[in-house]
Amino acid sequence: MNRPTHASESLHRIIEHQLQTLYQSQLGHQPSYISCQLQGTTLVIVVEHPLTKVEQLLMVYECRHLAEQIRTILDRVIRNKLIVMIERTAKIKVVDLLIDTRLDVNQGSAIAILAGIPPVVLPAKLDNSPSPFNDV
Amino acid sequence: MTVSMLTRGQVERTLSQRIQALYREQLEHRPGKVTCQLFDEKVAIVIEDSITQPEQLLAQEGHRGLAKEVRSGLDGALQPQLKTLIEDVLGVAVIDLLSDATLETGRTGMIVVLADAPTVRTSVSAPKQRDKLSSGKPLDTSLDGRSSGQFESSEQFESSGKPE
Repeated sequence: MNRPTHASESLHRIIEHQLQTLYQSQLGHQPSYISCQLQGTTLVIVVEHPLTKVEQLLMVYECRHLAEQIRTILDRVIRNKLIVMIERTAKIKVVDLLIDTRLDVNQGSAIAILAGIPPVVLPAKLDNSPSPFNDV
Repeated sequence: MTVSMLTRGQVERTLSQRIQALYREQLEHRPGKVTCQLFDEKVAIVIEDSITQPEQLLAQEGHRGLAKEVRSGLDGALQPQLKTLIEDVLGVAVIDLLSDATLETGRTGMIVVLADAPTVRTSVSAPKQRDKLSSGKPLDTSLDGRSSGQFESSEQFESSGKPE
């Protein structure tokens, strides 16, 4: 069954770290917490406080409609880059990625459906293939 | 009216610093150079690199109209805080604040209309003298400050901060 392995946990940490970097580089904002868990071919990501200060300010000053529009576009940008990031890191194709952010509670989540179990979390083979994490 | 112990240059510099801090705290964004200049009952403020990353991203993604709306929304959201900040530093009430920004250059310009000219301290030879920053008064009140040499020239505060 899919018990967490050392390789699986490493994959989680790498994706969490890369997602933090992605938020910082694209939005100039760092969420307070990102968690990533792989269950079979489903990767679940939870982001605490993903809203930028710009969105938060607009929400406070009754420009919610603007904040919603911004978030729709920002989520689209994050989604596209997240797909590339996961595929590069996990060495497996992303079949679908659903992303949603709740403005009221300032929380976001994403579910990535993978084409299969990432090869990096399969039982290690007794060969000399290079570590897939070397290039991340 | 509060009498300022600061010179005109010091007042302008303080205003620049406070505006920089406001942008950092409220928008998570560090602007470039912030220039404030006092003219009688008006203040001219120019902020370089004022456009936040989310706004830039919206424009890059082909949503310039939305980016402009966001900038307009942010201007409205920040205006009360800016007014309070300016009144606190200058010691006079703000009657009106006009603001505009250009996405392409990243520059924001503001004109602040005050209820009265702020009072500042003359910088040399007579440190105890108080003088209003307005034309028509005797003694070192020329706005350019050069004819009398008593005013510090307008100072610009440059941020050395780089984006993280």
